[in-house]
Amino acid sequence: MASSILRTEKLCKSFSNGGTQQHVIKNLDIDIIEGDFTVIMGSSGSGKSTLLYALSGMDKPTLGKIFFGDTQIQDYTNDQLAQFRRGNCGFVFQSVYLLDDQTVLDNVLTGALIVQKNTPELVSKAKELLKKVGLNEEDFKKYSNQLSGGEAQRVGIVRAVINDPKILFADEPTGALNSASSRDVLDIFTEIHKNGQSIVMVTHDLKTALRGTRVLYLRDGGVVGDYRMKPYGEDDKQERRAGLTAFLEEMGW
Amino acid sequence: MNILRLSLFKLKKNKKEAFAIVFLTMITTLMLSVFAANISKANKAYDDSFAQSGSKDTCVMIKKDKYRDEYKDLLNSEYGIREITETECVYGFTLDYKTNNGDERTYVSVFVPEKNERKIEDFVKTDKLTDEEVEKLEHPIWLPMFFSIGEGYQAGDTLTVCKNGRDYPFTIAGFYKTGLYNNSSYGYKMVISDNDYELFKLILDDGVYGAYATLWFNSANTGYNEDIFIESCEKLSGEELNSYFTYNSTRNEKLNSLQFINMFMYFLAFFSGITMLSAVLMIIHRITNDIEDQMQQIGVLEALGYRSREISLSYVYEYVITAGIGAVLGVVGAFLVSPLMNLGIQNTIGRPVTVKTEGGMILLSCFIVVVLVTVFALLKAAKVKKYPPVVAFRKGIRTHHFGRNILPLEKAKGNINIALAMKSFLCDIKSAVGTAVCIIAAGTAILFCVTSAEFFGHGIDGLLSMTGDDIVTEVELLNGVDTYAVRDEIAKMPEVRKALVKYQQKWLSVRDSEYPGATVVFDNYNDAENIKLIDGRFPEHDNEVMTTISRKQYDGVDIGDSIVIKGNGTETKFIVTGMTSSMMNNGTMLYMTSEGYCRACPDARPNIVSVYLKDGVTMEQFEEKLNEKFGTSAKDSVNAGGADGTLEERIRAAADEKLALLTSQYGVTNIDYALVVDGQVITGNSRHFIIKDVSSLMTLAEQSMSGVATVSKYGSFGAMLVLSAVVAVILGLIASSNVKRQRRRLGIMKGMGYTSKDLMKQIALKTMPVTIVYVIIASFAAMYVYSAFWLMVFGTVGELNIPLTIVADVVLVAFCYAVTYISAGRIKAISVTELMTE
Repeated sequence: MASSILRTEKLCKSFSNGGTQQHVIKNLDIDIIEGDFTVIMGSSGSGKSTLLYALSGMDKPTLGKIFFGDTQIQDYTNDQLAQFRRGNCGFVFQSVYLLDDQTVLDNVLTGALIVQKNTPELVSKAKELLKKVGLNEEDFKKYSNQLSGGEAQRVGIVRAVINDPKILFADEPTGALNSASSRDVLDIFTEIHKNGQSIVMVTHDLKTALRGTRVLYLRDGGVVGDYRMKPYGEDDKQERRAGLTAFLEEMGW
Repeated sequence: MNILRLSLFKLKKNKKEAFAIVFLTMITTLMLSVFAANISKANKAYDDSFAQSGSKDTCVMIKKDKYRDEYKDLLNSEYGIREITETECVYGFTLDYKTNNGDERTYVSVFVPEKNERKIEDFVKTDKLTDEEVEKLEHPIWLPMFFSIGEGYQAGDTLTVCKNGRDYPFTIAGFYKTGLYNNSSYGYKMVISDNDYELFKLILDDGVYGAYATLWFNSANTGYNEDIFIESCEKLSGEELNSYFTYNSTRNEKLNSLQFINMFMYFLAFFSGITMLSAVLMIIHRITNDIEDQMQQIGVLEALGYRSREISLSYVYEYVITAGIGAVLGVVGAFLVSPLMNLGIQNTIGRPVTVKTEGGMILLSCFIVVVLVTVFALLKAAKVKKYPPVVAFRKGIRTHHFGRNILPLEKAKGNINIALAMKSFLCDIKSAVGTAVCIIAAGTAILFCVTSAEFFGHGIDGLLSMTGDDIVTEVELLNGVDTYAVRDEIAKMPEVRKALVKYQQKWLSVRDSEYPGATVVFDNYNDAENIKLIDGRFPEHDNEVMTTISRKQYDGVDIGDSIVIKGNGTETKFIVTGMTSSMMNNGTMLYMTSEGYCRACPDARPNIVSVYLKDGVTMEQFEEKLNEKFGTSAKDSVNAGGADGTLEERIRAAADEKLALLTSQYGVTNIDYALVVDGQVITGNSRHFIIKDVSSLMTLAEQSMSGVATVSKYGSFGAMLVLSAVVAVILGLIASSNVKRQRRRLGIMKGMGYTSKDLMKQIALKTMPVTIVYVIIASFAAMYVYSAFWLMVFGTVGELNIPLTIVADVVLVAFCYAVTYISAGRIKAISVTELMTE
């Protein structure tokens, strides 16, 4: 049986808003299984992104515990969390967030060199990955302003996976892309997952959610639904869509 | 009104930056105000005090036995000066004193009886005992104001003159306002009773000491020149007068008295210039960054109908308000500092400061600072015009590095933080240029202060090393004694490291030069320990002389040139073989060999043994051993008193005391005596007296230099701290601007796993290449400024401490790194989620 890679116990996250506490995540217990492509869905304000940031160590929970394997990370300092992220996590953001003043290749290497030594093998790996996501040698020298949204997001994915993270987090990675670019990006995620990568992705898009193997539905800061699917491509697409749609309708999506 | 509200909102948002600008403008205004309000204060205080004394503005003193009435007529015939007061005084040169509590002091002293003082000036008394108390005093003395203001003496205190081993105690009757002779270099005029005056005429009659005829007159606008006047007197009499005259005037004494204050004031102006420059550059830097950061907001405001001029004004108001607050605080500080400045000026010039604080000048300084800030803010904020709404929405014309990739990371080696910092620096090199001027200027000033603080930190040792002569113990021998033989004997003493034969220092004129030179004579200059050859070589032959850098500046005399030195009725040509520097006597020293000196002054005889004591040996220990070897010096024998013993022994002791008095004070070279007491003949002679006097040049040097050394040490240290704070503020502003500007970038990096410390390191490292370059430039500039300062102020070449400068450079670079690193600490406040949700 697959083991848990990430687990929470009574996780809470609150924000202070004009003197009143806004409880976004409430006593949440979840298990993220190694090798799963977990999709977190929910209506706006349900706490999807907040949960993602807390799970990934980008933000600290207000209460509760987060276990990464056997290690508790909820009490880590900011610098400890940064070190935790660099060794274990990869991130793909909705707004890409490439470094403006660096080329495509340097953007990828900036993420890599904080963890690994600069070797010809590392540079080759970065170039190979970039080629795999459809970029060519000419593109490596381009700056973010010279890339389309889809190209930039693909660079973002390569930057996220260059260090072979134990878990890849993605926050609505297709949210700012057109449908063609979205499909390309989702294909990359599917491909990465097939290779054994654990992924946690936040989305509100059905097409994106269909790529996952597990869908957690959030409402009012708690998980109200947990739906499992076969890996993408291993079942009938119509049935897959119908099943997920039924689940989401049940959840009130 | 809306614009003002916008400015206030921005101010509230950027509190830290606003505080930094407030600090810089406050320091600028404070220093500029103190400079402007006080630069004329010392001058005015001097003039007021002089006017109140009723004194003439010029005085010439010629040794009484050399004076002729015709000299007075020369003043009339050559300069049209008719109102001349002729009187006399006793010139005490450097006399030793003991204060009430036994402290030893040395003052250049001019003694006048009250009747003469009243001829010279109004003799306006200030703090004094009552008339009845004064009447009762056996030995009253009236001192010039310096003693009450600068030295803290009070009426009723005792001041004891020590001469030839005898004490002459005086009671201070009070103080009076004097026009001239209220200065440590030119001397202090002390008014004493007729009896005491007559006594001093006798006991101070030796060499430069003694009675002088004095001519007091007003020389302003007459074309009068001391040296030309004395030359005329020499022509008239056919006598050499250089060694027998001294002079003073308000021009000279004022220049001397105000020298230190003026130097301090110009330093303040220099430092305020640096901080002003820093403040303006920082404001320019901030406005540029603000406009770039807030480009989209500018677009929104323009879209809403705000004119670009109005938006520009919101930036201008922000900095004018900030600078205004700083300037007001600076003004308050200047008013608070004013009483301290008055005290400092009074203590330095020894005259009361009666001028009110120049409020107008302080406010003018404040106005200048605010206007400068306004002008530069207006010029820079006008940049908003370049961005119409559409361009502003697109964040200006973003032309990000579409050219060559500088320092590609695939080729980077070593630490990624260093690689990223260098990459960031190279991409953003233009922004570094803006800070160059202020960092270089502040760095120059800091390194100058470090060198000065270190130099003066050793007390007077530093100054002693600049005297251009060996400051040692001098044993003056009686005439007729074989100086070389005594030198050999002294050299053998276990307390002594080295003993050299020297000549009494003389002032000799140099043809075609306004500046007479004090002589320094060595048989062999390799024996000298404190004379540094700057160029050429030491004199080796009797027709060679070494001069100073100052004289080169004054007279244009260089190595290889000839100069004619006027001795006692002789004029001798010398070739200049080398250059040295000396802060003594305005650096106009003349260095000759013994043979050379004897050519210039044929009547000169060596009568001094310069004694270099071993480490740890005190002057007292040496003197004790010297007395054991050569007998008590004639000076000390004067007060020895009668010995116990037989009648013959007591008579011999009394006779010896008389002989000592005659030989030590009246220039008698040899005495034989025969006394008949109850039919018994007692004979004796003065030949057993060998030593006339023993003195330590170090004691005099310590007294005259320790004040300057202490003030300079603490002044340099204080300035160093203030300037370091300025540099810290500049770098802090740059670092916080970088953080603010790169907020998004830093957030992304944090998301990737870079820690706050990694990013702080990158920001600090980014500033290092330019900081290192600026500090190196500043080092050279500081060395140049330091040398120029020493030449200008002390007439000598400042000794550069290269190892210290290198260490200071390293410390300064480390300081800059630390400040930038700490200032970049606000990165910690940026969380990744904040970045992603902004």
